[in-house]
Amino acid sequence: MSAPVVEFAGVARWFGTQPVLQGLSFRVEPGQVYALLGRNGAGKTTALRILLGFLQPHAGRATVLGHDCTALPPAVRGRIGYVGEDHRLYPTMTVGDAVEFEAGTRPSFRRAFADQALQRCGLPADRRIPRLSRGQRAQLSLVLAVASNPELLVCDDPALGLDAVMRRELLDALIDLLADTGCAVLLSSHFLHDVERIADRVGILHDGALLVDATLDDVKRRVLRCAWSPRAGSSPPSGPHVLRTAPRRDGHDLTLLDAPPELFAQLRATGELTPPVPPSLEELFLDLAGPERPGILREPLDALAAPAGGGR
Amino acid sequence: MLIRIDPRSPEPLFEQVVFAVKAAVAKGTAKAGDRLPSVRELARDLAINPNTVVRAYEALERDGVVVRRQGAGCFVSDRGSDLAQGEKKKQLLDLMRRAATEAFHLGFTAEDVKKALGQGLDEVQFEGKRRQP
Amino acid sequence: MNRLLGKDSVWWLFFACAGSAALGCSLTEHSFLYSFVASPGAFEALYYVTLGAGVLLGAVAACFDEALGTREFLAQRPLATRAIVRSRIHGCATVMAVWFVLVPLVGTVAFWVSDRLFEFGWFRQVPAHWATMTTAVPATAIGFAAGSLPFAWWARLLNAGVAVVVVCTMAWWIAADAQRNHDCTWFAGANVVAGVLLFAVGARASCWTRDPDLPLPRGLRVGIVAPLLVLAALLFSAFNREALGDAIWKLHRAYPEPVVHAGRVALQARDSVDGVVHLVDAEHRPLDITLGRRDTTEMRHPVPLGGPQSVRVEAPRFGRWAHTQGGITLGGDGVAFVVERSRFRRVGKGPEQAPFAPGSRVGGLGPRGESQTVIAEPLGSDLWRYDASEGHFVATALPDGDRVVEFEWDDAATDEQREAVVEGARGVYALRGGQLIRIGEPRSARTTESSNDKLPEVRVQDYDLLSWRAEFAGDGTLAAWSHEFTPRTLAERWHASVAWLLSSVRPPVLQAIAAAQPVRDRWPVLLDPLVANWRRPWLLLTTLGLAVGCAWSVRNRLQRLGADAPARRFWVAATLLLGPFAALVSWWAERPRAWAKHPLPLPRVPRISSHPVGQQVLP
Repeated sequence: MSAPVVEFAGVARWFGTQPVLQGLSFRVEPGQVYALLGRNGAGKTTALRILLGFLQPHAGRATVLGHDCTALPPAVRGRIGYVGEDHRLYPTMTVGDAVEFEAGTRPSFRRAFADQALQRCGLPADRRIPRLSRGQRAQLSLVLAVASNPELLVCDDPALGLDAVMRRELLDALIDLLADTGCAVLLSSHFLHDVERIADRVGILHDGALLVDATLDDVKRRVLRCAWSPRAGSSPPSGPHVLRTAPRRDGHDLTLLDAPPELFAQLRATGELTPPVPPSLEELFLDLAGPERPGILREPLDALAAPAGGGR
Repeated sequence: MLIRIDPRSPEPLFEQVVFAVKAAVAKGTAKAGDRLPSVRELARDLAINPNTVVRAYEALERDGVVVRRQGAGCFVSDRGSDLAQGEKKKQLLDLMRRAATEAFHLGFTAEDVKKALGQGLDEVQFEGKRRQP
Repeated sequence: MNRLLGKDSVWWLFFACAGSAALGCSLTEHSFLYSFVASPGAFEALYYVTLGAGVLLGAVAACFDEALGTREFLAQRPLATRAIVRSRIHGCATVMAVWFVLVPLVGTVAFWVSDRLFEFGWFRQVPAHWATMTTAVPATAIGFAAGSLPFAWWARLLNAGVAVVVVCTMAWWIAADAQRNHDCTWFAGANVVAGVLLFAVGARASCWTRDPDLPLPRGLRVGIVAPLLVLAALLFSAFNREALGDAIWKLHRAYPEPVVHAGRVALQARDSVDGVVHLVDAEHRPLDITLGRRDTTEMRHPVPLGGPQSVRVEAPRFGRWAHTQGGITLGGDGVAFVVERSRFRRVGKGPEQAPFAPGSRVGGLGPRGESQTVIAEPLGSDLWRYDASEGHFVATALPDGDRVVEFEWDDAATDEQREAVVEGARGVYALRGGQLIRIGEPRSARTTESSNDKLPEVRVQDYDLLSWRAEFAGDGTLAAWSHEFTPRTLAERWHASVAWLLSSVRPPVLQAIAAAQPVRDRWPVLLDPLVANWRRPWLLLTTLGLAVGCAWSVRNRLQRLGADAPARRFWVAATLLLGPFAALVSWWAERPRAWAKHPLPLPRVPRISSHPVGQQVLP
């Protein structure tokens, strides 16, 4: 197998006494789309900043394109494209100036492509950057990043704050990029529907390390969700196959991993079971990274849902 | 050729694409020699990763349903309809298998399934809508 | 590089235009005649505006990207940090070059708009303008270096302040001569050298970013923190020295002074209230004798104080002030001008308008309201009188070849009769009809003996700033007397203790240098005279002991924090050399959070994982 484009091995990072990353390990292969997911504050942005060399890890090693992230030579930085969530550009520049700047500082910039893409987006070259809307700035950032022909594209929540049409356009631009070049993409996003369509591998960051590091196909094949309404006296199942048990009206929501048929038989024997289906990425994320206790908005409902005895 | 996928479906995306192509060939909407959409077009159309489309086309090529010509694209192969027949059979078997699994999860026995299948077949014959293979 | 300059064009265009305008307008502090033609001595407004504008320019150059939030955007480009820093310095240099070219022109335009007394083309003082403006080089470098420091904003501000004071003081003192006039070349040279060094420091500092969770990189500590620490320690020593001088002066004021009373020498407390004076005994305790002021006669008691040179953020003086008298302006360089019909004209000695010697003085002689302008050269015995009809100065000799001492007013009975006269060494002369006539004796012969010379003198022996022995040998009328001035009362002991305390917190290395110096009257601001020539060895030992104690506590603290050996060695060495000041800085520089040891995380396997694409998936 060829060398990975990105490799994190046991990366740990603290901020003061707060541990943010605790042994993060994953790889991104060439041409692969890797989605790094996690709740707000889980450490995704920290991991990406370590990748780009803005932070040093306290332990472990992060490499990109074969180079250690703490000492990236300028030439390697030219092979990495970055689209951030705030799309920060010089407020004194126009769109044309930004393209010129990018063309002048990156040797592999495809000028014609960038001009065409901006024309398709409808961004005139003399518009000042502060006058662009958020979506237009996102488009500009993406075009600039993509036109420089990167080997790795790092996207930190690029679609934040954009409407559905803009999000779809960003997705289309990414798909075009993937089809035209063999670029690897490391994507961090909260829009799990888009991630589901485009990601090859998914990593869910929780408590400083990866809870899930698998292909989407694998996840769909191995994880099943069902609702189970137990008869009186039955306790919910536990064991290595049970990922999560969440209370619901009249029973439990179960998320199971690699469940053998015997487990289903046992559940059916002790209560009512709905047909198990694989979860969507969003449901899986909520199950794995969701809060341990019901939130502040669910407490009153829980009081209603549990009549005395708990049975039927 | 109409290829549609459902990202929420439990099937992996690339298998859905493979299945859709094979179904089109089986139904006869894609004849031998028809050109499949390019990787880029299909990926944009379905809003999925081009890698997925590439894997699907490779699987189809492995199964002999399509033929890849360098520089020209992927074309439905001559053996398509033959394979389609076998594929159709496999499709029917898959359908039955899935129904059986569902029924099992719902708690029915094999007898119940057979009875229901008979009932369904009667209904279909009653309506007289039978598709030619 | 063009791209980087292009994106920075906002600030360097702004500073080039606004800076030229501000600096040019600051030239209008004086009139056109003084700013451009004759010298005003020091261009104070220009100096301070240049200083401020330079620091601002450098700071904006360094912090522009940080302020816009595009620092990380820039860091992702495949650009070496060196290229980015070079472009910033290039921008600063361009702005300063524009200032040098445009400021005299802008000043000229400002005068043309505002001043009626103006004539284009008189650019005699422009080199002095340029010399004053060389302050922009170190100022910009300070702003740039301070802005590039990877510290909190207040630490950068503090360092900038320290650097400004130190650099301005050093440039001032390097270029000064005995009369506190400055040499253009030395001043400009000192500024340029300081500027280049500080730009290098700033370029080096730009390579680092501060991460509060990681310890100071060794290169940052040795290359940036160490020089800053030395600069700050020097400034601290200078302020300490001024406070020390103040304490010594207060001690001298607290001591009594010797006076003559009732036929013998006695000691009198210095502060007297309502004309009542108190005598004190040999232990400086007040006696029960109160007297009026006239009951005692003061004696001469010369005690050298030897005040230090001080820190100066002050405009250099490139020449003496020009003076104007009767429409003639005489510059410090000896060139005289007259303004006729709104035009300037040079005037001088004789029809060929020869210039006067530098240091000449201009004055007016004759009755009030009818004075004639005269110029006296420093070493000549001729007085040059301005003849308006001929348009140049005419020589008028002093009788007997006498030398001019001073211009003054004679002692006439009434104000109307007073006239301005010139005093020579051997007489006083007035101007009558174009000739100088002797009208009286020189004042030095007329005045009575200085009452000072009649006072009996008390000699000062064994003077070591805080204590000395006063001896009076005795003349015909008074008996011999001696007294040991040392701190005896509470107030005196307090001032002496303050002086000792201030001396003991000074950097040991400076104290060692001071101790090796011989005793002298005037002391450089960085050296402590209390320990000169190895007197007061106990004070030296106290200083060293304090430094060693601080170094020991610094070492303990760093060990407790978990700092590594190079960091410990650095700060212990710094404290031993620079005293408690370095210990304070180490407390700020090395924080617990940076050295916190974090436990290695246990390796965690993901709950759901699949092998990389292409391999078989294990259940």
